[in-house]
This record gives sequence, structure tokens and C-alpha cells, in this order.
Amino acid sequence: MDDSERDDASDYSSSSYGPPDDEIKSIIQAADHLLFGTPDPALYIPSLHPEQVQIFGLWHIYLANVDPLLKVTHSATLQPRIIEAARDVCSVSESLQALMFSIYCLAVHSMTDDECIASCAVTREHALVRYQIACKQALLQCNPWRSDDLDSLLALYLYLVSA
Amino acid sequence: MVASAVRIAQRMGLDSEASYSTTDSKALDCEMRRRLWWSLTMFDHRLCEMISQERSTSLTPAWDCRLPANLNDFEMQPDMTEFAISRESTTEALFAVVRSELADWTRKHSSLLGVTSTGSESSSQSCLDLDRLEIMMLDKHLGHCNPQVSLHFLTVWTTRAFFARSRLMEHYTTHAKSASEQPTTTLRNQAHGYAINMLECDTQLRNSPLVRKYLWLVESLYSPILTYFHLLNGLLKRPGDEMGDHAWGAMAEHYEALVNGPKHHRTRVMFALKFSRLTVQAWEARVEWKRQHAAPAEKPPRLVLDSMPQELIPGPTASMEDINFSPGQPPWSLPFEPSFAEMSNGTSSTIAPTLSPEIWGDETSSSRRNAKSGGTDIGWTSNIDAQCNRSTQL
Repeated sequence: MDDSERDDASDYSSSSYGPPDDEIKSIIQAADHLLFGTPDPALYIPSLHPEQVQIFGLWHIYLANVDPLLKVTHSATLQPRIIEAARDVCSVSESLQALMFSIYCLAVHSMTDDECIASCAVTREHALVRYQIACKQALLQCNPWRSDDLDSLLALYLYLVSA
Repeated sequence: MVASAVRIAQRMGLDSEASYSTTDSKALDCEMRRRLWWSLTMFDHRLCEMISQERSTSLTPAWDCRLPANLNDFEMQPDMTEFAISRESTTEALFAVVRSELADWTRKHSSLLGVTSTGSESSSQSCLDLDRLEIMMLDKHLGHCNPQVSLHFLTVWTTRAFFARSRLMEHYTTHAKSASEQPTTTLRNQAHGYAINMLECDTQLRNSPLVRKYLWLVESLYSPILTYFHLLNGLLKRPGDEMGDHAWGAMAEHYEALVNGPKHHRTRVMFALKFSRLTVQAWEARVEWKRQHAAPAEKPPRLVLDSMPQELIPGPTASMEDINFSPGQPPWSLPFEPSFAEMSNGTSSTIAPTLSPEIWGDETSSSRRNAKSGGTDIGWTSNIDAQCNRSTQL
């Protein structure tokens, strides 16, 4: 990967894991509105996705730990969509984006601290906070409260289970 | 927040079969909507239980969404207009399907929700229905399960816990009507038996490496803390209860399973046990009863030691004499502790039945409990002197 590609990749590279912790904390403090609060225009949600490899890792953890119990996603049809989305997270639809973050949340929620550190190189609490913030913002964008999109409602439900 | 998700689902018609027949959605889309509805409403119901707002639950007979289909994902293709009935009784969807069927029973028996008042006839009818449901679940699903398969193991033990819990709740609903009456020993032992069974089922789940990856959901199905409080409250009032050894054993084993599990699963329970002081008080009562009846002394299990204030925990060379139990708070009692008049027939006490052994086989016996928990026999004999210098009168 040359420098220009590396710069582009760093926009949503897992090496930075999105905004720094201080910014995350200020977002939490600001989100004291009704329901999820208002969307934060400063937050570029696609940048909060993990690296492609980790997206697949979290998806497989979801398939192993979560899906057998809930069975609210059809893995045969969702997996190709996840693979396609992981190739270019910037062009993912709003509802699918929210669904992906809710899947990350639940995958992390289902792991122990040790498993999360081994898988994501961060603590379970850290990963959960990161993905839950991103999921909330993504849900505000796709607005399940005013749409009939099943993916949006599904994302809201999975987020609530992980919260 | 969950309530808003339920409202969205209702607005989208997920709860109504009529909406599925009028749209031109494919069978897969309809099935996934049904599964989401059931999962969502069960989650909502569980949250309502946790905040004692069962009347607000969405798990009511008011909607008619069909149960999720017992099908593997590969049997549901996107272009199918309808699905064939699966040849397998234990598909990938086993756990979700079984839970949904149990939830369907629950919503149709609202007396268990405490929403409607019931007479003794309808509550005995509910007990019969529970027995019938248990047999049906065994025949339809659980009898085909392979306990070496993690999803099957999870399904079997969570279902057993469901029946124990439902019977305990039915007991409270039936016998909590009159505050002036005392329960008979038989009924009290029955309730203790159900509570002990709940803990034993949870211990099985927490100790099994097969279902470690599923513990995140097991955690949310019910909180064991009320089960502890039910047993401890009873043991505090009747420290010489014939089920005392079994109850303490079940609690000690379950506590060990908690301690050995993920930290974020055990913190709340351990905190609640320590905060309430009920554990220490119940153990005090047991020690005093054994002293009065010249019974051999016991070493306190970790459950009791962890609940003690730090200054009371004996050092390595201390004896029971050194433990100075201070006068405790009034015993914490469950708000729905049943009490009613003794029945006139004066039935003698009997050991509370385990979970319908004629249905499940002998697996609910205590010998099974010791064997399957890896032989972790909590030592009840003690080298510590049983003399205790205390002034507490319980």
C-alpha cells in the first residue's frame, strides 16, 4: 500500500479506531437529549468501522455466539451484503450501516474481556462504547422511528440487546 | 426505548398475520419479520419483568403473529414462495423456536404474569397446563436433543429452568392472596424445590464449556438473585429445614460457578448478596441451630465468606469463637412471600419434588448434580470449633 492509499485507508483504518477517547467522552456528555439525541455532524460514521479483516472477525463471532440464539438474521443473504459493504464502507446504505454496527455491538457484548482483547486488541468495555456510539449515530441517520425499513428496526433491536 | 421498537414493529404490521397475507413479500421476508417480532416481544417482556411492570408487556394474546418456523437457514431460500416443513426436529433455529413456544404459552396464561386475579381452580388448571406443556416440549423438541451439541444443551437446561421458574411464580401467584395465612410445609418445600432446581439449571449452564459463548444471553433470561433470596429467607426463618442442606449446597455450587465465570456476570449478584446481609444472617441461624442440636459444625462456604464484612472473616488460625456476629438488619423478605392458613388435613412434610422426574428421568437428582458439576463437592465438614459467641436473637 503506497502513501496515498495509506492516507485514504487511515480515514477508516482500525489503527486509529476512530475519534480519540476525549472526543468520545464529550460526545457521551452531549448526548443527553430525548432518545438518542441529535446527530453529530462532526462524526463521520464510516470512519468508525473496524478494518475489513476485523469486520469479518466480528461477523463470525456474531454468527457463532449470537445468531444461533436470536435467529433474526438470515446469514446466507446477509453475509454477501456484509462482504460487499466491507469492501467500501463509505458507500453502504444508512440502514445496512446501522445494522453492521449493531452486529459489532452484539458480537463484542457476547465476548469476555479476554476474548475481546485477543480479537480486537482493546478491552470489551472500550470496544462496546466505541461501537455503541457509532451505532446510535447510525440509527439517528437511518431513523427507524419514521421508516418501514426492516434493517433499521433490526439494527435498533440488536443495539438494544447489547446495551 | 424498547417500547419504541415494539411500536415501530406494530406500525410495520410485524405482529399481525393479516399484514403478511396482504403484502407481496416473499416467504423469507415474512419469516424474518415474524422472527424479529417474537424476539423483540420476548426481550420486551423480560425487561418488563425486571422492572416489575409485567402489565406493560407486549407479550399478550392481543396479536396473532405465527410462531417462527423450525427451519435451517439453508431451507429458506430468497426466491421461495413457501417453505416445506423441515424433516429435522432440531434445526439451527431450535433455541429460538422453543423459547417462542414457551413465550406463546406464557402470553396465553396471563395469570402467571400476575395481570389477572385467579381463583384456585384456574391456578390448578395452570399447573396442569404447565405439566402438559412440559411433556409436549419433550416430545416435540427436547427428547431429540443431543446434549453434546452446545445449542441443544443450552435449550434443554434453559427450558428446565423455565419450568422451575414458572412453577415458582405460579406458587407465588396462587398463595400470595392472603397475607394472614401461613403456607403448609409441603407447599413451602415445593417452592424451595423449584428455587433449588432453578439454581441447579443455571449452575449446569455456567459450568459447561459447551455454552460459554452463549452465557451473554443466559445472563439476561433471569436473575438468580431472587432465587437466592427466596431460599435464604426461608432458611433464616427455619434454619433446621429438612431441605437446608440441599438448599445451601445448591447455592454454594451456583456461587462457585458465578465466581469462576466472567467478572461482568457476577458482580451484581455478589453485590446484592453482600449488601442484603441475608446470607450472613441465614448462616448465623444455621450455626445456632446446629449448636442447639449438637450437630457437627461446618465451614462456611465461599458464598457466606464473601458476604461477610471484611472484619468478620476469620483468619487462618481463628475459630468460630472469634466470629462476632453483630445484630443484623431485619431479615430481607420478598414482597410477595406467600403466607396462608395451614390446611386442615395436616399433611406431613415431604421432600419437595424435583422437576417431574417421571418426565425428565433421574437427571434432576442430587447425585446427578454432584456428578455433572465435575465432582466439585463443597466440603461441609469443618475443623473449626462450633462455639460461637454471639448475642443475636433471630
